[in-house]
Amino acid sequence: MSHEAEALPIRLCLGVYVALISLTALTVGAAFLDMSFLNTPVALGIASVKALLVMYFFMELRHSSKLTWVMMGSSGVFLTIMIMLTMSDAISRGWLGVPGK
Amino acid sequence: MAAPAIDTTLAPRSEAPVKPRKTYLNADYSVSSWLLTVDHKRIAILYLVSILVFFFLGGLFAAGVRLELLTPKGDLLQADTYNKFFTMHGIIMVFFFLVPSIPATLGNFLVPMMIGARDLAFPRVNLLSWYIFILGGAFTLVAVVGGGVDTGWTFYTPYSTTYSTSNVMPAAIGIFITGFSSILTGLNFIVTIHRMRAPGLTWFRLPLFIWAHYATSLIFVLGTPVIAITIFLVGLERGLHIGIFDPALGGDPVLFQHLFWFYSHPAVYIMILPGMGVVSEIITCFARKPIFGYSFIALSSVAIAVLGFVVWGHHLFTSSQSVYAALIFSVLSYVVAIPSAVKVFNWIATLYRGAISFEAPMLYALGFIGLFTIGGLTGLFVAAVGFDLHVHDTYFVVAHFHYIMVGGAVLAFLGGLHFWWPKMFGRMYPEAWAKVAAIIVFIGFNLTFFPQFILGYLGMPRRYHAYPDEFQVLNVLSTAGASILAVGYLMPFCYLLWSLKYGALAPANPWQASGLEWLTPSPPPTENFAETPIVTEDPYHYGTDDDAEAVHVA
Amino acid sequence: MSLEQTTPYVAHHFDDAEQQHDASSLGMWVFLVTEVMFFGGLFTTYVVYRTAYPEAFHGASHELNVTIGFFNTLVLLTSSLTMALSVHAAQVSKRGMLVVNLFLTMVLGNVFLGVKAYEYWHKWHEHLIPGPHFVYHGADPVHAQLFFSLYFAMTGLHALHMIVGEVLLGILLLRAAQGMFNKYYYTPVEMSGLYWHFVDLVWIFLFPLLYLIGRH
Repeated sequence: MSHEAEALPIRLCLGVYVALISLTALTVGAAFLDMSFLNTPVALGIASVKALLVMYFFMELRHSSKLTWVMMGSSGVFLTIMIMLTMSDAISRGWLGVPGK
Repeated sequence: MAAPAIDTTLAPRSEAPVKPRKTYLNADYSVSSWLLTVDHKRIAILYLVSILVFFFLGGLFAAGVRLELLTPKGDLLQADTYNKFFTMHGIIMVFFFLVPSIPATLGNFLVPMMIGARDLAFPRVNLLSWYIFILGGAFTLVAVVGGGVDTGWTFYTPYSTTYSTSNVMPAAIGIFITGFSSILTGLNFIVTIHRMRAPGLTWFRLPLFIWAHYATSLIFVLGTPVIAITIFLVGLERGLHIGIFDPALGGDPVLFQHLFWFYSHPAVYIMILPGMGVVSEIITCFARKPIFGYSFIALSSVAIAVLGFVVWGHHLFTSSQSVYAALIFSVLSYVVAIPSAVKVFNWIATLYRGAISFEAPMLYALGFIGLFTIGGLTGLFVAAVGFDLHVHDTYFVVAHFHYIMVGGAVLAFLGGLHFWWPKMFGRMYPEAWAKVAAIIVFIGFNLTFFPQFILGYLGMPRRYHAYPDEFQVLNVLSTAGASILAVGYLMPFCYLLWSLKYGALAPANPWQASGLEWLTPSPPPTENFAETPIVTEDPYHYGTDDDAEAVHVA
Repeated sequence: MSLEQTTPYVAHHFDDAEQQHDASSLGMWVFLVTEVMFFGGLFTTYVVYRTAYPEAFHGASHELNVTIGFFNTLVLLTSSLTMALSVHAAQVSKRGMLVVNLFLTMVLGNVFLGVKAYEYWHKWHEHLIPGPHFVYHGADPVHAQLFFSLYFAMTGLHALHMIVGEVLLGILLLRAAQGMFNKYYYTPVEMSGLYWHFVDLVWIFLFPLLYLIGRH
């Protein structure tokens, strides 16, 4: 910021970094465990936590305006819409048992 | 309203030579001052000239299509050539005229002025967006000159990626590049509207034109990147044989249609929303009444932008999309009719008991309301799965979307151009000619496209260069209408150019309109406002005591 | 005039430095929204195909080297740390620390790209590049090829974003060495930081989705 602002503390940076590294190790470890259908949700859950850490601390979302949160949130919402509605077709295409329906 | 008086501040009062007032137009005459300008008003003019060139080119292809369809046999154009004509017509009109038409010209010019700002938030990014547009246009022109594209503007796979032998690559690259100009324009508008409003100009004091452009910008920002990545994947598959959509390579062509329409359906709202903003401004001004239901119109723009993202599957009813998904998309498509209808009702309520006068912009705006309503209601027809199976890929669909895109977007563009012409160039257009042209456009448009509803309902498919004899009467009507429409388009082109030199000098506010842009002289100075205006009241103070006085004096 | 500024430059159309900074910041975030949607098209494609052909995707994913992917993830996360430290250095006017951290970020970015290039070369060697010369001995080669199409499209676009980031960092480094940034003016460092972290975010999702599926 062009005026004097609270700088990102170094200790916090290092703490976030350690957390990110640990979570990366965790996600690799989890991938080799058989959790049946839970493997992918766990991997995505860990990735989301890492993403939130990066955004909240490194990208300074914690000091950002509500508007910034809304903007970033809206991209998540619209990405979800795209995936969900496309999948609504992809999943249900075979249900009728009629080719092409 | 009385004839616009000559602005006394502009006319010399004595014989002594008076130094002309500095405006954005006469600030500098060099070519580089135009090509390197960061003034949003000059960039708007650059865009205006560019999109009119594309409009003319797209119109030529449309003329070829309509001439071929004059007779049932394929005599003027061969089937291949015809495919290229309708494809180039679609690509040029959609990506290079309709999408940028109002936002990049009127929007660029007016968004900062309406919110009391000196420029957009990122002036250099704005100029960059024009250059990107030109670069993308150049690639597309290479595709045209090199022999054209025959995939239809929709680039459906696997035809576009594997089988077509036409110039798909340059056209795809052109569209990919041009997308970034839309993205930058949208980004610029969003930041400008959030961060650059004059003191006192709260969200619910903003002109509806600004609301419409804000909603449009949301679609630019959220939708355009998806078409960019989709076209990119088409390029990968076509250029490098990296399989994504081609079933022969394991892909799913219907997935392409999902991704394509995730952008391209909202793109329809990119085309119509700014037009709705223009019409809101014109209706309230020439009805001399505050707009009815301001907040409903404002929020319905945002609602249309958001809901526009959840209806795309109605383009896939016959593309082997699952019937369950079709059901969901059909229902959601009906929902988006609600905010559109809210707008139409509010415009009509604004007209009710208004002191209506029929200047040319008002004629276009009234035409918009009627034609958009027809286009929207037939949209409900084709949103119903059962009916759509019958008319899919027929002229019914062609007529439906032309009622939205030409009857809606183009009429709004012409109306807006007339309405703000005095502000943009400091000259009045000839009112009588303009009224005649507006009526000719309306008649020509309806004669062109109404017969196509009947043709489509009777089963004439789109995208064929020949048809059975019994369809000829209606096709001849349509082609005759197209030639009338062409006259209607050429007339404003001529008299607007004429008015640049010979038109009466325009006063600052020829329509006694409300809005910050009318507080500046016509044409405005480079910095728009000598002092940042302070806003103390809601918009559209028409019909109040102040307003009556203003009209009386004028 | 020295490059050391105490009052930041404010462009003519802004009222003050705060409005200018807020506009830049919002502009950058909106740009990142467009980036989310840009990569979002690829993620949608990935979800559709992986749901349709899970076995082929699991098999094809085994061709990727988890150790290399893990190493590269660490490299990229570390570069995010040095980027965050760069912003900190600019905010407290420490020119030396800023230069060193920007340089480290660039180096780490290049290490990532080098490793990526090695992985690509390896795939080329193994005929795993989709197209006419694709050779795959596992089950369902047609749909395994889809996995590799997506792998190259996603990591390729990610790498392209890294290269753009490297260029940005190079410009920042030159300017930082000239002493252009200090606690009164560091918007470019902050904005480039947002971009760099975003590229990191994309990789945080790409790594488990491409390297870690069907490993158990």
